[in-house]
Amino acid sequence: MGTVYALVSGKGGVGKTTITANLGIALSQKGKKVLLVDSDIAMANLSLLLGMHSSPITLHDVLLGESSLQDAIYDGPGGVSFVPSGLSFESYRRVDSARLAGVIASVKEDFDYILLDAPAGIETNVMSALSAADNVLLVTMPISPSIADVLKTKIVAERLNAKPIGVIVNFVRNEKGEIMPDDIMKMLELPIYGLIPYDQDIRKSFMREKIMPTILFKPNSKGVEAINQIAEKLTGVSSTIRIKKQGIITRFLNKLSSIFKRKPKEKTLREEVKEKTKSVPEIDEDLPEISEDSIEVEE
Amino acid sequence: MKSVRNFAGKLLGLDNTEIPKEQLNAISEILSKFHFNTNSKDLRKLLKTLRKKHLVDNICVASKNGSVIASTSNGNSLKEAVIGTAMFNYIKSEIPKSETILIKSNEWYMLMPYKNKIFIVRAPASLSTVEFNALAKEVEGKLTKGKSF
Repeated sequence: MGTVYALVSGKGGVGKTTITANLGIALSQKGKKVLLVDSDIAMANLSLLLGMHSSPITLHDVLLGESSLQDAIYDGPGGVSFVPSGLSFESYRRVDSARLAGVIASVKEDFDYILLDAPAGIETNVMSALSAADNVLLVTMPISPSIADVLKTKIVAERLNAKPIGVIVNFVRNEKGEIMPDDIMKMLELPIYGLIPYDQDIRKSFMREKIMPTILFKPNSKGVEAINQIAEKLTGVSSTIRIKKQGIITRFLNKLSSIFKRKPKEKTLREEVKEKTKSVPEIDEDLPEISEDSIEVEE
Repeated sequence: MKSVRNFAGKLLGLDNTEIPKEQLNAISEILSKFHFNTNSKDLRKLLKTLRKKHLVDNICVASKNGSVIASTSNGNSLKEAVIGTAMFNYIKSEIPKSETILIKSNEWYMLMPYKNKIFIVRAPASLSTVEFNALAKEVEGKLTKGKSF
């Protein structure tokens, strides 16, 4: 029997979808059978990140009772199975998300891990994802508005008798003004499951000709390393989270190199229009728990 | 002077951010208000706790024939159970597939069957069916554990 995890947050844009995709592939690379479900039925993004936005049968069809979940499961990248959510506004309006729990329960036997990419906020669709999950992972940024919102999500999860098990802190830059992991643990009364550093490689995963999760094209990046650690925790292998603080010399050298790094010259509107009108473009047809002691700060 | 300091700060990557301690204290306070002990052996006490947990005004649990099992209202529980159950049974006979019934008056009256019981909830805002189910499951869990209420 597999375990269902819902990745939820209070605010949007904290990285739930990116973490879900990369974490799912990381678990799959460890030999686990993983199903990713885009349970953000209003604002589906996971299919975009996995490059599977044109799938004909979606979660919308399943929730409308027009298809079975088995028909909506596709082979995704990196060995994961994937249930996309529809992009159609019309079918979204007709969908009853309260059916999600029953739908997910029907495939629990077939997978080791089922990860639900939940919508942001505390509205009905989020509640449906929470009630469908065995465990809830809260995703937040280390800043107060994000933590205040994820706290409300935690309260809603508890009202629904869902089980929040830990927090994933994303976009960690190690700045003085960031809320420290200890404080986040105390405020949310939950252990930290992962600290994912701000990583340009992850940010750029949506800025490629062929969009794909970072773990597939930059497996050694800092962010992917942190996501792999979360996967190890979920599979029961304990590991230590290391927060590496950069010294002043390293920061200075990084800054200096970024100043002298050449940026691509931006085209003016006039140049762009001129170029586009020259020729018609071709159309291509064809986590076990983690204690406070296991967080080490390296100076 | 300020621009020189800014330039030096940018060049050296100096961190001039600070932790907003006041905000953190306010956030911590929010959570402290949302701890609910649902281990009470007294069903009426449990319902009172659930009333706060789910932010509703009144919860009444009735059997399908209209008798009260437990309620948080003082004095009106019998009337609520009889009217609520009669209303549910009538609508169920007209629309057989009814799962949850929501009635908007000055406030919301919500009726839902769960394991041979009717849950009648009054609240200023409507509950989603997911939330309603969670509330009913929690009460039913206590009843089926065989605890002495």
